[in-house]
Amino acid sequence: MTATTFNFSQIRVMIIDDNRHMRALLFSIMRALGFREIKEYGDAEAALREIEHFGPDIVLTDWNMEPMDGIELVKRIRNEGAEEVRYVPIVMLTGHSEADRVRAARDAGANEFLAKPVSANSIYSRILRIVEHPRPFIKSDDYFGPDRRRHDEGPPDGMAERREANGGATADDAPELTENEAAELLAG
Amino acid sequence: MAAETVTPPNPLAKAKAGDGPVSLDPQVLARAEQAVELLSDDFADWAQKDILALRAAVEKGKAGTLPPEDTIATIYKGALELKGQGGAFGYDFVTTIGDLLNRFVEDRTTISKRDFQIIDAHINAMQAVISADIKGSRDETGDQIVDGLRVLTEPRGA
Repeated sequence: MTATTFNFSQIRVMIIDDNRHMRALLFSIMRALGFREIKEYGDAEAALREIEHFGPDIVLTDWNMEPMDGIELVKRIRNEGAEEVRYVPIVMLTGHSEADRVRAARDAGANEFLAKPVSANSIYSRILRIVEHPRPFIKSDDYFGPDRRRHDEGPPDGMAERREANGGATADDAPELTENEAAELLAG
Repeated sequence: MAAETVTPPNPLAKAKAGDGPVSLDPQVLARAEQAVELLSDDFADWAQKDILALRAAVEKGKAGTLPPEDTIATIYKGALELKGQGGAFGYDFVTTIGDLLNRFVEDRTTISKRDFQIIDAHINAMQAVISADIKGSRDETGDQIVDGLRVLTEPRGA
């Protein structure tokens, strides 16, 4: 058994944020983490137009953008994207921390959440989680995206209790989020 | 349709080598943190521009040339951006004040004269933090500024 190491030089990243300072920050962090194929977009429409051509392995997107916000972008990638892109891991960055807003991002189909302000460490840890703990996707009448029940990880207590209580839950049952659980998701 | 579980290939798996314990290269993280540090020298200029844009929106709102809902949306978005960037570049108090300003305007549909004064106080406070180069989350002046804003935004009579 050899130690697990990571080399991101072949991983294609799409960064979408309408604030160029945030794009510069995210680009610098990803570059320093070893990513070499990085494309950045100032609006979600432009990203959607190019996503199939670029074929990202991971998407980092802001939530609060105009005219199309991050939630709409995630829904369109998941529900209207070509087969090669609709499963792409998506990390949603947000300055919002309220449970209902985090729930909306989760229900749109984002894999991970990252509360702003971000740090190199917080981005690195989210990416490693996607590498190490990929989640299956759920297809149902009203949802297509990563399994919203995070049962394959060492969970925060609140979620563990919730899962135990939901022992007979079906695959597309998405638990409601408390304020504490929303904070846990944002904190990673 | 019954829910169906699909296990797609993990596109990030190709970044992984080895099957043992995860070994993180501390130099990689240090390099990323250094990249942020380098950018933080530019943050004061960036924030200055964002603050000017916020002030412009507020002035238009006061003059009635920007409708209240647009004024509130512009202030909310500007404060959210500053909140999101401040702490990333070490200006934790900018994040705190941006958050306070977000909370102050988010459920409003109109802005009174007093509301504008409170909004101005938040913008001035962010300006002061940047001008005085107050970094980190522990600073007596920063604490005083935030405490003052909290008093202003507490419901009257509370």
